[in-house]
Amino acid sequence: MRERMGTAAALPYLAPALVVVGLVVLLPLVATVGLSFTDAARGSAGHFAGLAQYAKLAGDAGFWRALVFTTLFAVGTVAVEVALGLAVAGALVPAFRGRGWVRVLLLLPWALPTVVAGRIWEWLFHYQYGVFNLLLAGAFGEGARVDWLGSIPTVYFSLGIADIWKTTPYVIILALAALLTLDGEVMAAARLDGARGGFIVRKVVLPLIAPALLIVAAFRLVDAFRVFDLIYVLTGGGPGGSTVSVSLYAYQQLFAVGDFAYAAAVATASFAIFLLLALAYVVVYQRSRAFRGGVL
Amino acid sequence: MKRGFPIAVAWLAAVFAVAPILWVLITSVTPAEKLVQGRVGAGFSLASYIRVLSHTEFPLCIINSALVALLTTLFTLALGLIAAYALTRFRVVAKPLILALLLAIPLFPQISILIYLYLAASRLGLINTYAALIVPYTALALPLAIWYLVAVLDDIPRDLDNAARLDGCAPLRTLTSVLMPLVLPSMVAVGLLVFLLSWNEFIIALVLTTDAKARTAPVGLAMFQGTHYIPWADITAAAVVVLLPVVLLAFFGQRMLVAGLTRGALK
Repeated sequence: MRERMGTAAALPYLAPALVVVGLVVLLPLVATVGLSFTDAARGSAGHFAGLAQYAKLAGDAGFWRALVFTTLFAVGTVAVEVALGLAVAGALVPAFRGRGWVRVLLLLPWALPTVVAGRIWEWLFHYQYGVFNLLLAGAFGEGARVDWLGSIPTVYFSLGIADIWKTTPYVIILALAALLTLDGEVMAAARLDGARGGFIVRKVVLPLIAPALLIVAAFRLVDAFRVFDLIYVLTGGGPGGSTVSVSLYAYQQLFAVGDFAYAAAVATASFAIFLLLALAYVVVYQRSRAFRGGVL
Repeated sequence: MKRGFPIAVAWLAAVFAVAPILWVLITSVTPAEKLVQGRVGAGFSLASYIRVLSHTEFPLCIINSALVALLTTLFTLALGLIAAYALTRFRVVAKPLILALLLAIPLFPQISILIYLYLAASRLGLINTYAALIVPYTALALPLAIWYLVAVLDDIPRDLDNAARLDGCAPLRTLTSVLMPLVLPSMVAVGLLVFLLSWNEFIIALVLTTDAKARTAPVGLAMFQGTHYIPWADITAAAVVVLLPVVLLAFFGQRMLVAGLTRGALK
């Protein structure tokens, strides 16, 4: 009986899931890397071209600009989201009248499609009819209107606000879940020892939820690095290409330019960034574990 | 003061979360001629909804999205359950490695597979088909379902399986008649989450559909131009149509959505 419960016996049950994942994820990943070593383009199957696409990538100002923008966007929004999300989650720990409602309402921006979020903020930021400009024009006259999405650096602020609105709830949900697993006795013991609120937060609560916060920040960071939907809808990469993300850049190379091999090289670069981030997370996680003596 | 401050923070956050949605809802029922004057909220009219739902291809997008999300959910639950069964009831080599690799799948940049998926789908004539969306959606949602169901199945004592086996139950039979009734609530929770993610997905659907009739709701909304002299009356109405099911899901399935999200991520 025992030998029947090994890997070979499990394979028929695992096979369907593995086949689907292999077909949709592994095969395309490898094939895309392969494609990046050719010169395939729309209407031409292409031949092996060595590192030609990567040489082009290294000298392509458009790609570097997208990479810098994406990095700043990801780091900036995630820093704000984690700080803000943690603060709001902390406010939701003690029970109060209406807390259930607050939690449902906070779920909404996370739950709706990013395209809808993009359309919502596009409307709020609209130059002629958007609520912000209606208020500004009403209070200070027509000259006070701001070109929220059409001018630099205002567009960075507008994009940031929209992203923070959409994804902070995700941080809130996960940070709150982590806070609610905390042992009340630890807190009570700290309080008995005479510790004050601020001290408890810094020295007891934060270290205890640090691993959970770390993984939430890591999830958010890799998600922000692949940003596409929000930018596609809200700015289309404009004004003047100032908000083109790496994903959007690859998409443009694929469809607008039709350079399949170069698009594959950009896509491979974006996967390499993901791998680097994942690796960095594992290293940081292992270090913090070692630091804590492997308790967590 | 000491208790009042966190409550104020919480409500402020809730208002910030909801106000933009409410503004769009109000815009969508404002007559177009009032919108042109910048008078959002003046008057009430459902004309935008009628235009969107009867004079555009948008209803087709909604149907496409609903079917794709529903079928994705069913396939993901079925494949996820038997995979999770294998991972918990058999001694699978490198199980932690398999789970860790699965975790990376919903996180990596979709663009790094999408170029090939587009080229392959074009060659196979699968552009504008449901299959071209359902298969990738299932693959990307499977890790979520497997993680969640592995955690749930791990909590169910093996004695139950052994008893079923002694009664002559084959493994698949044990799964469907003994274990499935126990994990059904969890499958509903993870199913809601998968449905939501498929309903919301954009970039894959954008790349793999070219025909306006084959688009999903998010792609339709992103492409939506409006049929009226001020398109925003129609665009906001279309946006509300897309977010309505999501809002209902959030209100009635809140507990399950949060459970699905946190159990997958923090366990």
